[in-house]
Amino acid sequence: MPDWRREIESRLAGLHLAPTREAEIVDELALYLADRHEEFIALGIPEAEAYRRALAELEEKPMAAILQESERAPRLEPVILGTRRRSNWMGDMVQDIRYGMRSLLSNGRFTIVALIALALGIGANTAVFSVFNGVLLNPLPYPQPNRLVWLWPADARTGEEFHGAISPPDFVDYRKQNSVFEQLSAFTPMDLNLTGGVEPERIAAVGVSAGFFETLGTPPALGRTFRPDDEQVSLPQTAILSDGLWRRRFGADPRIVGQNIVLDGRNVQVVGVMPPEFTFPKEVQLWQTLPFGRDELKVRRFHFLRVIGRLKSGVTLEQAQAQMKSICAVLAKTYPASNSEYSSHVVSLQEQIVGELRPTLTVLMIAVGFVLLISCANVAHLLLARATARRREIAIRASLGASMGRVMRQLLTESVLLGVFGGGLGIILAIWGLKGLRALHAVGIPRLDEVHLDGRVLAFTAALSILTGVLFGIFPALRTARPQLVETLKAGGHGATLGRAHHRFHSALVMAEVAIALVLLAGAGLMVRSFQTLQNVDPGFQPNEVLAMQISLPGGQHFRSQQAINFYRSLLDRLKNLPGVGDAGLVSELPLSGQNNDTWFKIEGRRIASPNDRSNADQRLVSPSYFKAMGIPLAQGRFFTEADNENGAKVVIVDQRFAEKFFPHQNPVGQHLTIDIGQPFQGEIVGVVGAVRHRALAQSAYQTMYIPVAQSAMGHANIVIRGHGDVLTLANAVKQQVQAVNHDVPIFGVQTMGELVSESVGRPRFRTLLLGLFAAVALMLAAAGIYGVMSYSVSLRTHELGIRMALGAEQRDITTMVVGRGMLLVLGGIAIGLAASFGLARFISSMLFRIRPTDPVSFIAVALVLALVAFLANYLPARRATKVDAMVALRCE
Amino acid sequence: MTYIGSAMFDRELKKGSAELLILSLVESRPRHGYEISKTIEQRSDGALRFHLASLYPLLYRLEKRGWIQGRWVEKEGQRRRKYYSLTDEGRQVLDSQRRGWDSFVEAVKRITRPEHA
Repeated sequence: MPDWRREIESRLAGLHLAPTREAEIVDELALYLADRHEEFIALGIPEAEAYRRALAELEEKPMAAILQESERAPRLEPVILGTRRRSNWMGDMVQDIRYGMRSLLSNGRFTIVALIALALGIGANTAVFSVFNGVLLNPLPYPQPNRLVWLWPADARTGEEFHGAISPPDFVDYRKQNSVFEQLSAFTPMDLNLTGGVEPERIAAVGVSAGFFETLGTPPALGRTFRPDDEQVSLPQTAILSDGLWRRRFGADPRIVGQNIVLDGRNVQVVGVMPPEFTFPKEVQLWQTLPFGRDELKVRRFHFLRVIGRLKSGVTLEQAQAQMKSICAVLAKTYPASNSEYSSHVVSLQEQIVGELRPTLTVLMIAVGFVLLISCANVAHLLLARATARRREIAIRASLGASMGRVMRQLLTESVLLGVFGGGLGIILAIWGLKGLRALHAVGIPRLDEVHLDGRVLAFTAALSILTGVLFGIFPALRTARPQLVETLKAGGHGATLGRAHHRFHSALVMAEVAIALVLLAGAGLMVRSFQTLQNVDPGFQPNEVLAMQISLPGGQHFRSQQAINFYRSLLDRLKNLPGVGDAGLVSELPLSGQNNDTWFKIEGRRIASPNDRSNADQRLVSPSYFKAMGIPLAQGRFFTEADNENGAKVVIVDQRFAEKFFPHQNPVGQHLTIDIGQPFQGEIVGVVGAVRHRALAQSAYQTMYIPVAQSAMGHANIVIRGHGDVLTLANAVKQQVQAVNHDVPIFGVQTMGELVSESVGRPRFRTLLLGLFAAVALMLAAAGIYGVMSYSVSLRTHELGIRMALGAEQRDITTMVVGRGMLLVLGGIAIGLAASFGLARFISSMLFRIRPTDPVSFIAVALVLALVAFLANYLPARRATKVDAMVALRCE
Repeated sequence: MTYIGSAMFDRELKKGSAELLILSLVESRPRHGYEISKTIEQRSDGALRFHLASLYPLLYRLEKRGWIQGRWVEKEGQRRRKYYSLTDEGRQVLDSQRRGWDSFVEAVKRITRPEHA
């Protein structure tokens, strides 16, 4: 059976029909020829002759030419009656768009390459802008959110805020004396044991003052909020449930309002349920009243409240600030012992929640802006290269009377179309990108869950797409729209007629791309170096193969201390005997977990002028085995032992930081401290251990004191277990042991220390990863751009290169010449980029850890990487140029 | 001179009438391309021939104008083929072309009829 299809396909090839249409025609015509062929065979015509005759039908007329008419006949443009054709703006636009679409479709390869570059650029911008928008720009989800503020304590002398807390009596005075806040309220996080159900549960709760929900302006979904009389008690009597807890634990039963639940072993009445969208602070499941009647809440030096407020309508932040300052000044005079150093600083709540992210997101926005610029440069180059090929078309249109403006509009329409399609693809990329971002689970990026593509993001992308289209289209359009008619028509639009300006523009594009890519790479390089340094920081303990989890004794602080000590003792005995467990210890506050506790202390034998001159240090309760389990080394003296218990002499271990600061050139072992742990704890220092970076890897260690668990009381503890291999597999066995000792003890927060360390650098990782990604995209785009420009310029020089080779130039000479010219541009770009990077790097200096913004290693490394990639992008086209057959090259005119 | 003139006349005639022929053939029932070509050849005793290169472009043009419509049909024991049928619009065109053709033929007859003295 003859292959009719191939014969037909070869004759249709020049038509560029839509693939489905072409397939249909091929099918139909092949059938016809097969029928005809059979007919001839049936008539007794020999095979070869039958084939020839059937094929002759295909040859009868030039198929392609005839089909062209029926398949590609352009539809006539609609002429809108009553308007003059020349000023028919809408009609022209419709025509331009149609023409542009056709032109893009007929240049598939060009269009695809351009769209990829644009989609990457616009997609990255859309994704980052949607984070920027969702986190920084979108108002907080409360009524009139711009009136919400946060109150920090501040240093009375300098007025500088510090991220501490406010004492309850101070808060009560603030609330009473101010006239600028419609509502002022306090809250403090507290975890509670919820019992009385199937299984005890540790829930994240906050104690709040009455007026807390009114401050934020959110009414309850069920029941009521707290009233002033709810807080005038010594133990909280009322609670409000979050929507999540209400559904999960109480089956969304509306009759829960008015009923009692058991919190920390006490009956508390549920008075309301909040709507699902209300989660302040994040992740909270239950709100309780702060019991202002309680003694501890009457002490001015216990600072543990966070304070938020709602400004009265018309009151500015500055007015509120001024009044709070004067209230604090009066309090400082009235209570000099506790308040002399305290003032207050008012910031907007939104700024407080997300303000720290502003620099990071701004840098990322700039980075993606750069990526888009490179995309634009790439597409501009592509357009320009194509414009060269289209010179004849344009010249013909111009000679038929099209004005330069009209031709430019046509060309710009095409580039804007490209931009818009690129934007559409970019949105798809951005949706994927955002999914990826959320999957990163970046701890430390607030409001990331609120990020989505909303109207503002889409408007941004639409505007960006159009702007991009104009940006990369305008110069090529300008250059193309005024061709030298006669020359172009004569020359057939090839190399010789391209002016110097044309080459200059390509050269400028290459240099710009290289420079921008270098700036991005330098930024990413600095970030990566900084992140590496951060990760190589010794946290002061060995996080590998350590499992941590939290337990909380029923009754919280009310769990009697001897009972607690016995519980911990038998628990540790059981845990140490579990297979796979090396060491098990307890600590009141786990490093890098966000838990912390600091307190005052005095060194025995040193005089202080007033109680305010006492020194401050972090303070932890630990079991003797804690240091070994965590891998914290001993520097001097000894660790705690089992003998340091409730019956033994009181002992303290300090860390090296503490020793250096308070006992420089002295041996701290043997010295005595009096530590304020609610009551004075007098103990002898028996050992010095290594310092631990407790708050953050990037923050140096703070002086710390350790006290044995058995000599104090601890209602809430972290179990730390050193094992082998995948320690998470131990979690269940540990749980069983805990429940075997006491069934009512909930276990939560199971994590490896490795995970905690990794989470603690979530934000640096987030920006390093993203900036690295954008730099990689930039590098790729720049490489593609250089490759494209070089291939193109080599193709323009085919004739010249042919002559050179015909005259005896060696392959190596040609390669050197071509690569040399390209690399000259690249090196120029690198020089500009380096200069710009030095200037710009200081903007990210605050995000760098122990790396100077002028870090030579980063700059040299990225310059080398870029030069190498650019060299390849130059070399490949150059090598191809040398493969040119001199004869072909000479004929190519 | 005469020869060239009559050849041109023939070509115009054929081109104008080709549409009419195809439309008429698919009026009564759908036919595929090869069938149309064979039918024209047979009914004209070989005087008129539409081979592939002239037939299909014409079919596609008529289809594009919406006068005929092609459908792929698979009949039992046969190859899958594209059958063309007349659309409503095509029927109107056919009617008008027929009238035009009849009056044209009538006119030609009147002109070429031997004159009586």
